[in-house]
Amino acid sequence: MNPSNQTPATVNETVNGAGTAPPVEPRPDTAPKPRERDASPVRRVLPGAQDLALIGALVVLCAGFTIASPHFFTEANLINVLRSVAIIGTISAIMTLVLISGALDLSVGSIMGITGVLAAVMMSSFGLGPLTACAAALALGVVCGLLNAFCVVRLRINPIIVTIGTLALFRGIAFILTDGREIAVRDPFFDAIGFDRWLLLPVPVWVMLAVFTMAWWIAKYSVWGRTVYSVGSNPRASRLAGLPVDRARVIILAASGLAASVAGLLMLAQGGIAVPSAGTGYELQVLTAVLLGGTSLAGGEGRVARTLVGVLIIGVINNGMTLLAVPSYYQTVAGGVLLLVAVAIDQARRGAGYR
Amino acid sequence: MAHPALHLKGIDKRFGGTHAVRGVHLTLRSGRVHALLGENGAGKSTLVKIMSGLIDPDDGTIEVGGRPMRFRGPADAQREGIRTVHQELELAPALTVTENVLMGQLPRRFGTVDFAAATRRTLGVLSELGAELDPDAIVGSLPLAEQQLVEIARGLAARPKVLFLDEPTAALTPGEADKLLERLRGLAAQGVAILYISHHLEEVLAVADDVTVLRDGAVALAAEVSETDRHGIVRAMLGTDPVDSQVRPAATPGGEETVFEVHDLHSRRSLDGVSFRVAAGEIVGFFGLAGSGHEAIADCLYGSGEYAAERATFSGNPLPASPIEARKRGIGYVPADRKRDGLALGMSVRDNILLANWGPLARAGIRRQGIETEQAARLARRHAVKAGSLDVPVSSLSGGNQQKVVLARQFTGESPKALLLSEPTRGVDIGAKAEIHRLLAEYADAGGTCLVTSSDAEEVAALCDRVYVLSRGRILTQLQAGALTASNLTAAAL
Ligand SMILES: Nc1ncnc2c1ncn2[C@@H]1O[C@H](COP(=O)(O)OP(=O)(O)OP(=O)(O)O)[C@@H](O)[C@H]1O
Ligand SMILES: [Mg+2]
Repeated sequence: MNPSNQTPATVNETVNGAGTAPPVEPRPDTAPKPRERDASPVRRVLPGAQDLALIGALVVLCAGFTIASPHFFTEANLINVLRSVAIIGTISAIMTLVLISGALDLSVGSIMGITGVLAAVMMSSFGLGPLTACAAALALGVVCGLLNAFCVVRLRINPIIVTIGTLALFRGIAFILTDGREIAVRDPFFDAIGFDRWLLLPVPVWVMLAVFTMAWWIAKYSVWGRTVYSVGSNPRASRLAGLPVDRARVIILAASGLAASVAGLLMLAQGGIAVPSAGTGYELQVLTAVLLGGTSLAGGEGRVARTLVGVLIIGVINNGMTLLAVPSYYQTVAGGVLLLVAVAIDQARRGAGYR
Repeated sequence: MAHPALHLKGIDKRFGGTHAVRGVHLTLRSGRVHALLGENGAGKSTLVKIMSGLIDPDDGTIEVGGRPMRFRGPADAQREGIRTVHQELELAPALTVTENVLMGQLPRRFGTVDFAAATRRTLGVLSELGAELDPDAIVGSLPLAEQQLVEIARGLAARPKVLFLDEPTAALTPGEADKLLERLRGLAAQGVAILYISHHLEEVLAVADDVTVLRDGAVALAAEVSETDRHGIVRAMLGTDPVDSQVRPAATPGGEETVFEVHDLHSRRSLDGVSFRVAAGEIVGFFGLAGSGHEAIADCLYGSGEYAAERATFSGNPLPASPIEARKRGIGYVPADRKRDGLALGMSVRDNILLANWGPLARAGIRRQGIETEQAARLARRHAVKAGSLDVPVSSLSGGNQQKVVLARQFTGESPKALLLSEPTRGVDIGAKAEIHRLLAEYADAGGTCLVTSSDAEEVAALCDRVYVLSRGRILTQLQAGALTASNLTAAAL
């Protein structure tokens, strides 16, 4: 049976992010997949079970590291954890909406790179002020997102493929812009963003929290949020019901580009230096966080608040391993394992793996 | 006596708070057709899913040929020769008709697929059903009725010992249904045990030997068909005596105002020069066999299909260019294939009733959930949607109740000017169907316009003021008033 049958809502929509390739050969033993088999009553009675599991995992991790290292549970370190996840968190909040809408954006890491570089070039080569540079960078992020959207909506290419392409494209341009060099940025405005604190927390953490709040509010309370869920759940039915499916996709991918450019600027501010390779691989960390939060790759399902917990789990694991002096190679391994765990949870939850 | 082909003892199943199946006993014997009846949500499909290994029962045993079995998946049931034609089609839309019909059993030669033999076998099975389908067509591109035939053909191609059919004729015309019933009788004569679910009582009485009626998950009647009659069955289904429903007392002539006017409508592969006019307040039907093109008309009028026409207007202006425009101009649309075109399956019943109508209920783009719930609850009640709550995913509703959700949605905002309805009551039980017909008649009496494309001759005859009969993309004839009966329709369509 065609594996895409496991996600009935998107079966006929190849433009959809979850579109799976047709199987090479029909297999006899995988007749209609039973969603029902796993829809256990427990899950219906206790809608909070998944939240509890997530928060439980976070608490257990924190407890473990607290026992293992005296430095973990200190104010300074906990703020460190938050600071370290601010960048991926900012992107993850919007990426949750992207996945809910049934799309995927793998180009966010490259957009971080290209926008950071643009801001730096505008200041160092053209002598523009930091605010103008930031505005240009944010605009570039939106343009990148719109380019992705154009390919998805007009050229009808699967978003995964589109953003694999633009991942390389944007990164390449970032290198061309600087000729491969790094550009130092010495500017009080950027220093303030990177290192100041408001009410205890670093500015980037506030930015992340603001973006999360916005995404959460949109998903839950806005009409547009309903449209996003519906488009992800069944684009065909949504279009026939009169919803602006294409417009929703354009807005969501543009927003994703914007969030990535915000993240790129945060990174520039924290590092004080624009590197064309900045943000490489971040798309996978972001995806890990979103999937850990239980958002489905198939679209139509997901909670922004859970993604925040997913982000924190990643931050705590990375931080804890650094405190325990785990070599960075092993940290990379842990990242991979985490991604697999996240996807396995997604599959198990929907009760239909690739058997 | 020989062991029954399949024997259920005390099967019980709960979904959260819903007790879907309660202590059901059921015996299927080789060579006999067994009808399973009941209202929407009575538990028929759940029982079939249990018997085909898709769901675990909470309690009870399944015996196959006298041996107790525990199915851990559909593969286990299939190994016992059990095949199922599901209510919600389970086809691979990207594959061809042949690949779907012979899924899992494509003939091989020298380790590769023998496509010539596969095509031959597929054609064989299809012709037994009287279906003329291109074996190389991509299934996802076929209209619903043809997809339904593919699903049925797949069940037959496997040469099952036990065959379940869950509302296989819901999208078929009487002629096609008759062919299927004939074929089922033939299979039974060869010793196959058949379980047949349908809301068309006539079919059931014609084909079945035994009948079991479920009401609220429990067996309300189990008898041989010869021992009972239509009245007894309906009473067992409802639990009370049925009330007669007369839909439109007399055909109502349309008003002056022209709503749809179409001249020489062509669409690729399906319509070949169709012209008609529909006035405000009319209920007009389009009837034809699968492939006659009637399915395409609603798509053209709604702006979701491509067409060419000499003139095609809605309220004096050109037809809408997109569904969004159609909705804005007051056209409602109920697609034939609710699963593919109508529902966001993972979302709640509430969201599906309101789908695309969140805007008008909101203030400045901000949802007002109290008002949403109120509206959704009102519509669910009016359309007799049976659901555990408005918050359960719509995929957990029974087929007929899912259909009612799509219908209810049309009345969320202000009442539409015109409704395009394809198979509006597909899978809906007789009681709810009469209620829906009443609602539509009320809507038309208030000046609304309905275009109904249906393969159900009874429905079209009961509901419509006049009916265009189509064949091969052209209008053959028009039936109205006195001549508008199910048998005339069927005869005219041939
Ligand atoms: N996966 C599920 N989760 C929760 N409830 C379910 C699920 N599947 C079925 N139900 C409930 O079980 C009851 C029986 O449903 P079922 O699909 O068996 O009805 P049915 O007799 O086939 O009706 P129809 O004639 O409309 O097809 C319904 O109330 C339905 O809402
Ligand atoms: Mg059913």
